[in-house]
Amino acid sequence: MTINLALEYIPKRMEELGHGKNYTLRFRHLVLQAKESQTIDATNQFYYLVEEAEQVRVESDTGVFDLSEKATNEMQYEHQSKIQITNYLAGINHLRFIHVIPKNQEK
Amino acid sequence: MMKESVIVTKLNIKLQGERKHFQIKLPSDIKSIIGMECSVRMIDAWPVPPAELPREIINPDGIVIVIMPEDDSLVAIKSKFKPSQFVGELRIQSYDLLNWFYVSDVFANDVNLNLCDVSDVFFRVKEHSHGIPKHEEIMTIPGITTLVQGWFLDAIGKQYNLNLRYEVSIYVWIKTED
Repeated sequence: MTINLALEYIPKRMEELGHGKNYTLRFRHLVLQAKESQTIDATNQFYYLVEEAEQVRVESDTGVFDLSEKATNEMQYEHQSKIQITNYLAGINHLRFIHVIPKNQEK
Repeated sequence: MMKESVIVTKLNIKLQGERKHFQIKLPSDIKSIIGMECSVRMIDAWPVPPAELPREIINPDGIVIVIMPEDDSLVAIKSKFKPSQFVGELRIQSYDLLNWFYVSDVFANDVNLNLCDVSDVFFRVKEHSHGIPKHEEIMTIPGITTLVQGWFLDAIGKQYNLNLRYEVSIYVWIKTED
């Protein structure tokens, strides 16, 4: 997913999910150390992968994004809940997300 | 007048640790999803769990006694009881407000039906004759969208390190207007 597609897609998706315009966006650029694994707690939040990241695995309750994964029929760009990120490279790798944080409904 | 019906979706799993994404089309006149159910049918033979190892007992005087599994009353009881086999994990998502609305661990048929069975050898205990009737899990999911999606993640193949072939059937019970 490109950044432009994500920015087009996110407002519609938030509307579908009932958040309307009550959300904030952050751009996250993660720097992963060699063979690093990390977990992001994204409960009630959304992470949109904005590139076809290589040599990296992103797995969450929504699905998996891993270009080397053979045992799946679909890659997932929208991630929620606990996100497990693994860098397969023996060097530094980069991963870019758009982070969507729904806000409390306006009174 | 309201009408109830069921939509059956079948997934074929072939690889260990396979994650199969799927979509289920719902009719345009749907009022709500009223139940979910799933079942498993193995195409390959069921994997055989590893055999019990001999048990060693050390007497107070230091003598080691090895009890073979066939002579071990503890193992005899244990080996008859087999926990129901965990086959995989299923999640289903709606495109609207409800988002992920169904999460379930999928188990195979109850393998303990014949535990301590004293019935006739000609009327063996089987799932279809002696099992508890299966019912759907009841829910009310308003049918705003006409499509739900989800994934099934294999666990049994991963557990035995085998590419097991089996079919997962997903039953979506719906209510529509007649």
